[in-house]
Amino acid sequence: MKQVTLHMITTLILACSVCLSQPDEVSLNVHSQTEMLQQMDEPVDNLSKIISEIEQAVQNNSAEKLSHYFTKKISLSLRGTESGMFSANQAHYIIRDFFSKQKLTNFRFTSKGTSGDDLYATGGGALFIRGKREVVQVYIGFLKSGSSYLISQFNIY
Amino acid sequence: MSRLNLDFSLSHHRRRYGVVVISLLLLCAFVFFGEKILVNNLEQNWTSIKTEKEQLLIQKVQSSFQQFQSESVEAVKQIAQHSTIVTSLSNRSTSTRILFEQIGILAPTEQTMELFDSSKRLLCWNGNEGIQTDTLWLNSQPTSFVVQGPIYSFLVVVYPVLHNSTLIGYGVSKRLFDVNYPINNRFINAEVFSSTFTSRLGREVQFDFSSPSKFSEELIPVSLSGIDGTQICTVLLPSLNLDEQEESVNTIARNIVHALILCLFLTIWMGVRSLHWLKQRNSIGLFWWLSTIWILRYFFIWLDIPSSFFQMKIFEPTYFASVFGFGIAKSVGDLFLTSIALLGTIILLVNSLVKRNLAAEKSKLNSLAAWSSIFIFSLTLPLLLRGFAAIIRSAVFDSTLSYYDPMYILPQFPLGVMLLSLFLISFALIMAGVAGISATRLALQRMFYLTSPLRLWVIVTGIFIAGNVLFEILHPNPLFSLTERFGYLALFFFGAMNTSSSFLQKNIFFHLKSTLVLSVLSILALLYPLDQQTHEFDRSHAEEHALNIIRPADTYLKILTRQALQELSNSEIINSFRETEPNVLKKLAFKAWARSILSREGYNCSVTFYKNEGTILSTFYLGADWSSPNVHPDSLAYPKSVELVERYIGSHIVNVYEGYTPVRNKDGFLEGGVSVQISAGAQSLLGGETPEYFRNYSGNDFISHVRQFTFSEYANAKLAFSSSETFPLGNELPAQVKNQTQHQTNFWIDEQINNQTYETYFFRPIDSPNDNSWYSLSMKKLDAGWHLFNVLRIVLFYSCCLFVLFLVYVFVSFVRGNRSLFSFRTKLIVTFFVVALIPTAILAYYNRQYAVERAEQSIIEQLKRETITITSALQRQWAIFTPFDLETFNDRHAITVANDVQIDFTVFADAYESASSKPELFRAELFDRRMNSDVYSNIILQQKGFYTNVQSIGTLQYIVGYRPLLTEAGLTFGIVAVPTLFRLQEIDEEIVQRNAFLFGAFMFAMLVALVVGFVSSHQISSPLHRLLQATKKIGAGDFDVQIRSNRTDEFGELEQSFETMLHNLKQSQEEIIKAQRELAWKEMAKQVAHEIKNPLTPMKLSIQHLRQAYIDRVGDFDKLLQQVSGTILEQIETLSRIASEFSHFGRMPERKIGQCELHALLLDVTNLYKEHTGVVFDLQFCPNSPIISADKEELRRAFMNIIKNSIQAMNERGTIAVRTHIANLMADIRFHDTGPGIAEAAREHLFEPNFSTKTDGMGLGLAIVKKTIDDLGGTIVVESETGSGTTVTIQLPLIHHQPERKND
Repeated sequence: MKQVTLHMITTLILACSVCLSQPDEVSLNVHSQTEMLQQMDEPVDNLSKIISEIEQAVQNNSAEKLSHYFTKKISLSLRGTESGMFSANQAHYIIRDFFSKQKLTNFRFTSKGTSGDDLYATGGGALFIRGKREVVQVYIGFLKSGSSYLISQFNIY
Repeated sequence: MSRLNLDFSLSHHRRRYGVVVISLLLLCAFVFFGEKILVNNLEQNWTSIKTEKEQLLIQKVQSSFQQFQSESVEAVKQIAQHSTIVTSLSNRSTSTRILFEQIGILAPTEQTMELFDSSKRLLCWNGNEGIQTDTLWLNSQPTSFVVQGPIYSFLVVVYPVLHNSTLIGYGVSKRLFDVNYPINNRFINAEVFSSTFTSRLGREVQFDFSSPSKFSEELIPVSLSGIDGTQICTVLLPSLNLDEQEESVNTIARNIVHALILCLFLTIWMGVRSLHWLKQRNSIGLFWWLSTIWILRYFFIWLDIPSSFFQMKIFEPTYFASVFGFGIAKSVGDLFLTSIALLGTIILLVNSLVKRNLAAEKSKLNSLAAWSSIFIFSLTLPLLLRGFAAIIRSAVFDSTLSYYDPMYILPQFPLGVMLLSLFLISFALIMAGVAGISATRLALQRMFYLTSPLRLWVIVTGIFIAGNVLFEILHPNPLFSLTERFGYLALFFFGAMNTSSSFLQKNIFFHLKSTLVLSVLSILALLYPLDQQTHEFDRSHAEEHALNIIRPADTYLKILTRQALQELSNSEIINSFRETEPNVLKKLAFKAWARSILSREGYNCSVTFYKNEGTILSTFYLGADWSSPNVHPDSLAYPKSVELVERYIGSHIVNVYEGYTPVRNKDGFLEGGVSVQISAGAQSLLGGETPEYFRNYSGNDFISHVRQFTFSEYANAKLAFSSSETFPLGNELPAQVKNQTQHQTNFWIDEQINNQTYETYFFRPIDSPNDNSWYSLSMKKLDAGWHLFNVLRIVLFYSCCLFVLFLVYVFVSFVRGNRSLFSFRTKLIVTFFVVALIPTAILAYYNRQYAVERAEQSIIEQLKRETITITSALQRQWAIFTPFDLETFNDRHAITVANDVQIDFTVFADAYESASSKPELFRAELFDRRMNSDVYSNIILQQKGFYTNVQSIGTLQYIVGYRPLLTEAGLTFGIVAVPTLFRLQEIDEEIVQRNAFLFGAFMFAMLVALVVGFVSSHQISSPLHRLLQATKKIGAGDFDVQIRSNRTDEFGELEQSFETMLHNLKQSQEEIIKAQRELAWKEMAKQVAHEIKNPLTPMKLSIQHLRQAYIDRVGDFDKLLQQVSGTILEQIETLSRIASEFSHFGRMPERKIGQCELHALLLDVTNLYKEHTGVVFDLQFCPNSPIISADKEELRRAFMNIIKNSIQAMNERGTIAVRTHIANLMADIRFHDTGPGIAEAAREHLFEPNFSTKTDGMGLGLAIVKKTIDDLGGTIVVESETGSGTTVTIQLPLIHHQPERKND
């Protein structure tokens, strides 16, 4: 029976691994549309901090840090790759793969704008593709979500 | 000796593995250092290497171009020198129609051919115009050159047509040379333009058509020469880059090292696996395999295998990516590999758990351990279910795959791989659940000796229900509801009831029925959550749209306009202002639009560029007849902020976001300006009005799914606006909506509109007043038929996959020599199915062809009506009867007519586009301005009244209907063309309905065939099956079999004959048994009489002697009396013994059945004989003591009998070896002695009663032993060779696997 117990414990470990490795929606900072509808009027805290963190994430080519700010569905357009609407998880991997093949350097936000509850920020940088340098334009669109802003659009032209 | 051999073999293996490991390590080191050396070499000799590589590249480019050019030259030469063409041109009266026909036959598909006469007048053509041919290029010598357009560039080859050295015409070939098309979507992409020269080169290049000039050092200029030797252009290749070369070397080296590391891992794994001690330990073996699977899986992820070796889209995250499992599901391909690993894990666990542990007999189950395990598993199962639900949700929400795209019956490759992965995961879940429930049931049965199956199932059910309820309470987000989990429990129980025996008897996968049952359950387990999640996904789309719609105040369109203005005033645009080529300037606005965010968003918009004096430089607009905003020259230098204004578009007033920004060069000099207008009309709320083929998108856009949204607006509880005509204006707001409180801002309801049920999402801004003003987004509700269609499509796909696996299984079995795979019934079912499938499939195919033809016919009929409508409108409303009238008809007029009759069209005059209701498609060069040659030939030359033709935009094909415009005299002066391009949604819906109908009918027919086949095969094979079972029972000795048959056919006769034969056989058997019994009793009686006589004789003699002594008054009478009485008592004892043995044989004493541990019993028995000092007992028992169900004393006597026989045979001097072993649920006990063996003649009679090789005894011992073993359901075999001893082998069934006991 010792071996039966061993099997049961193995099964339990496997089941827990299966479940624990699937993050729930809260950890992805994803909100339902209902919540977002209801939270539009809340004031935003530390807007400049959010912008600064995102700028830092882009400078470091960190898809991991960027993905913390993704909405459930994000519009991506990355130079030379597929463009479209993707889930936050997909966007995380697409951007990660993009940055692994080409490095974005010298990035800074050069302009920011708000329009009611929406925010956008653009900036320039350089992409190194196969040793060649190309100047690019980065556009990030934000959506207000509660007391924070989330990225709903991420384009590199 | 055998141990020595084993040691030698092991060390040889270890040496071999060691050699391989070292070789691989050396190879890795070699590659590592080799890479360093190569890179170093590259760096040191870069200049010469670069020069050499560039030379090779230049040669390759030049030879590629020469080949490209020579293909064009050959094609146009063939036309120019064709006898029919030459004759036709020299004989000017030849009909143009013949020329069109000839050129259509001779021209290759990827080239446009044109034929001019000697006056440089165009006579005929084939293919798109591409660029307009300037007749200045036509001269009497063959020549070639490249014409560069803003979007397309063409290689032009001119070849003179000569007749007797006289120039009579010119042949011109135009071939797409390069494309700079700014739009990229699933219809228009690089693959569509794969026939260009640049695509042949396989690298990005630039072209320079100016006179030779100095080029940047980063570019390698390659001159391309025409057929006359003159330079026609310069190709600018990016010069080779040291970093690029190093990266290339690094990539190759990295891939090789990864492959070597993988081989190293496998080698080490195989080496460790071969260790003897590992093979012996089952539990370690299990962990070994499990660890291997998952280490290998994560190894693949770390090494980026196989995506680094195979550049396939299924290994990219664009189709699917989940953060599940730390990277094991970051693409469709990765999920597939993970699902295989998961299934392998479950199979290993199940095999090990059930077969090796629960089936093996051990000491009494530890109740605490058993209950703990059951408790853990009852909670593990809901946890596994939650994991499964999470996977399915991620598969839908984290993917761009369309699970229910009705355009396809079978899924495309990426979706197919995804569905397979989900199936494997579902199969693993089902298997885990079924195995766990079976194991729990077995454990309970052993603990409580429960024999009632019903009671067992009830207890097991209760345990798992309790586990699920507890899980529901403890877990905050179980994903499945309690009811849904109970549903899954029902599936597990059903599976367990139908497959339990297979788990214990043989490997599950080699039992087809069980595999099929589990597969069906897996499909059921998967379909429900998949359907549910896709439905929820559709709803989440609607909710996201709603959010965009009700964004307060300034909407996204304002940001979009600002962003567009910023992009349209960048440096590339500034440089374009300096362009002098009019064609290039004309296309500036279109190219700028295509490269900007506007083309991705798909809103109706206009882009206008102004020169610095205020005139329009270039304009492009979508969707309507936009009038470009006027910009006064004085205000050109000042930007105008984006604002919402009203503009007239056509005859309608539309809200428009409009902005303007000046364009300045880097010195600050004003080059001009750009304005952008974006429509904020109602349709734009649904994410743009532009068709997909006109967007810079991958096809994965927001509203690209099966069901279309309808946007509606309610004011004061009445429908004020709707984007669909199906929703009648003035409709009342549904009652459930009216009754909502002010705080309720969004919810879903079902509503009926015109006999169609819609799922509608009602929403409003949070701060809106409660005046019954609502927005809504509606989509058609999927009915049961639709759900059934989707389910059947997926079932068909899985059936095809299972069928392929089945064929592989059959093939492998066949190759292994196993010919008898299937029962008669299965063969019958398969035969019925195949016989039904073939004609049904043929019918379905031809039906589909017919349906396609009918659909096309229907489209053509509609085009006929529409072209008549347009020509009537042009003639009656616009009075267009002559070519002169047509000249005054422009795009704006065409748009007006199109809006009135709701049909888009184009008018051609003199074979060229004259006016169109969709001018942007011509401006974007998606439509060719020149009429198709087939159309010209049929309408103009052959004077047909109507003609259809298939055209394409990229890979998107559509039908176009053409009708001539006739003067009053009946002469053709123009052609109206109506394309189905703008009705594709409608046509797609028709195709979907047709597919659904045909597919449904086909599946229904197949289902009926399957059911009929199953029933018929059952009917046919049942009698044979009954006969087979009966025959087996008879073979086992059971003559009480009865076959009750009500059939009156041949099978009925066969069964009746069988019954008769059985009855006769039974009677004969009884007679034989009776006779044998009588004979046996006679023999026994004779022997008993003989044996009884033996002691009676000395008794008689002794009594007689005593009597005589008494009569003779002998002196030592007392002594004599003692002797005689001793003899008589001895003989009485013998008589008593004979009577006892006879009694034992004749009648068995009452048995006491219980658990009997064999090892303990054997030890007891052998200990009894230890006093025989000359006999050595060599005991070798297996690790686990077998436990059987028997009468311990009876079994003890049997073992004692055997050992006693051995001792007697060895004359109490020798060795008796006793071995035990467990195999196939039987306990194996062997007794081997070193006696002289048994003669061959005696071996056959050993178990017969009354047979003995000894001088004393009844010869009943072994007969009694055999009877004992037989009654326990075992077997006994004696093997002996004279001089080599005797081996007695007894096999007894382990506890719980005892067959029915024979009762005497």
